[in-house]
Amino acid sequence: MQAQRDPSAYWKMAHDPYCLEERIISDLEAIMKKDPLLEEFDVIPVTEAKNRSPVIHISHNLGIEVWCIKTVFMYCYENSFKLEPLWKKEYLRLERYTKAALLLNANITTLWNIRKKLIVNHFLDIDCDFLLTKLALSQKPKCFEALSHRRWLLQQASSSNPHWVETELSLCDRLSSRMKCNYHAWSHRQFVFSQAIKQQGFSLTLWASEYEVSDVWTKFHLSDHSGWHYRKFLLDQFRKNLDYIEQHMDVARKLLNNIPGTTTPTQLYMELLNEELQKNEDLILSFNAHETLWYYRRFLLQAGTISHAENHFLEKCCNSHKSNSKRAAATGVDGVQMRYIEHHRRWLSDFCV
Amino acid sequence: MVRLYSLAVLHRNEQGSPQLLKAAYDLSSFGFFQRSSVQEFMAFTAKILTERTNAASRQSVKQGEYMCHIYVRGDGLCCVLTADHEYPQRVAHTLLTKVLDDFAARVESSLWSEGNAACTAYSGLEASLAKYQNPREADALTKVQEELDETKIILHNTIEAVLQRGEKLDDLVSKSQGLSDASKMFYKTARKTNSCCNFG
Repeated sequence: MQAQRDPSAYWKMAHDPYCLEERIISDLEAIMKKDPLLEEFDVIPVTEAKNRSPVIHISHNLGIEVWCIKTVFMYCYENSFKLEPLWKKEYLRLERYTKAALLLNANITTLWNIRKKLIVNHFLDIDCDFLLTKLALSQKPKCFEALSHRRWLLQQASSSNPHWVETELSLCDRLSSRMKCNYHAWSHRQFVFSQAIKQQGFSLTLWASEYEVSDVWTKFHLSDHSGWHYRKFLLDQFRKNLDYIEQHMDVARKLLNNIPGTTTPTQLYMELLNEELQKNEDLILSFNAHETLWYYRRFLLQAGTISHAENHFLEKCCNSHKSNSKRAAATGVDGVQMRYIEHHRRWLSDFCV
Repeated sequence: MVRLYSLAVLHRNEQGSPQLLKAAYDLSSFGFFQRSSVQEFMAFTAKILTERTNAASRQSVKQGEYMCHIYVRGDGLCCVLTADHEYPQRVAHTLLTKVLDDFAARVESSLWSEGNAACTAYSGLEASLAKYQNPREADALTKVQEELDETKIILHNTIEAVLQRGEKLDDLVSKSQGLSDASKMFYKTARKTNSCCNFG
């Protein structure tokens, strides 16, 4: 074991330790080791290769110039597959090549799986992969493979970092703001929430802070269906934990701005739904033609009870639509809103029967 | 998403060539290494559109996932707002009017043609950009400005539609002096690859 860790033995295995690819990989590796606070990784387009290292490190951001990607990636990719059968002996080099290959292209499940194997057999430190997935995601915020690897890591060692919930949630914040309708980021958020509950039991504080976060998010991202779905998920979580909330009614009322006149958790839940309906109505009336808002409304109606007020709401929409029609004619979204109103009316009549 | 990326005030002299007077950007949703190129491109687009919009008229131009709203006043002062598709168009154009009124009130018109240096003292753009990220802030404003409805806003589906006959965006990009080599390269790669992966 000791002999293999000896650097000279390690270098002897490489074809040519000083070839270009090896040097670039070493640069990448050195920066990742030196700066554990790295925030972002990106590919930098340049016109031509200059005679200097293509690896750039500025204030916790790692960049690589585009010209070398193809050769470095192919080199790492081929070597990873070549060394895979010898993984017990060659784990150091295998780790090195899979890391560089995944950094450049994070969509390869097989390579992530090789790393899983190394982690399970204690050849690789798990924190290294938290950093690697973070960097890969900073370049491709919708990369499912990296997120799935991260979920696996969390299941292996979620207790090692006491602040893992906060870390994951802030990662999700960044991913969802980087790319719109980022389904994978919101699924990850659901996973983190469920996992936290599983470990520590239902927590009203966590729930309330997430509810607040998603409130702000949905206000600014009206058509982000994944963001609205997360809000639905939170409301469902509330309903599922009514027993717990009953024992902590004081806390619940305080966290939810002390909604007056609620004594039971069920009442509190209905009150939340009503609040949401009101907010949803506001949004539909002030922003034209966002189908997601209508879907969310139907969820709210189904979760609560449909009252006759819904017909009034539709009337209101039609009226505001008429008064807006002159203005909206220029933008072309007018007909779309009308279609959503019609669709909702049909749904309502089906549902009430 | 409802989001504003940049707000720029330009001035067009009698020959029709535009000059950027002041701009504010919110690029936090872009990657660290992309920000400088994105900023250059927003300034570049603002200039292109200013050159190609008639005096005293309004346009909204779609480009990819962005929407540029532009208003050129009769006196050559002009404002360009880069937002996304979900930012309400009416609010955007009301905001343009408001920003220009504010700018004209604070900076003397004799200074406009002198360009950038003379107008640096004006600092209202950053505040407006931050405040109107939430379009509902502008609601009260829109209600007062009903006359905007009467104004016709021309809508274009791409920047190419705004260009004059025989002009091509690729050529304009490669000829531009305001864009660095890195940004031109960025433009070429962005055209080739679709950076977001599947499950769009």
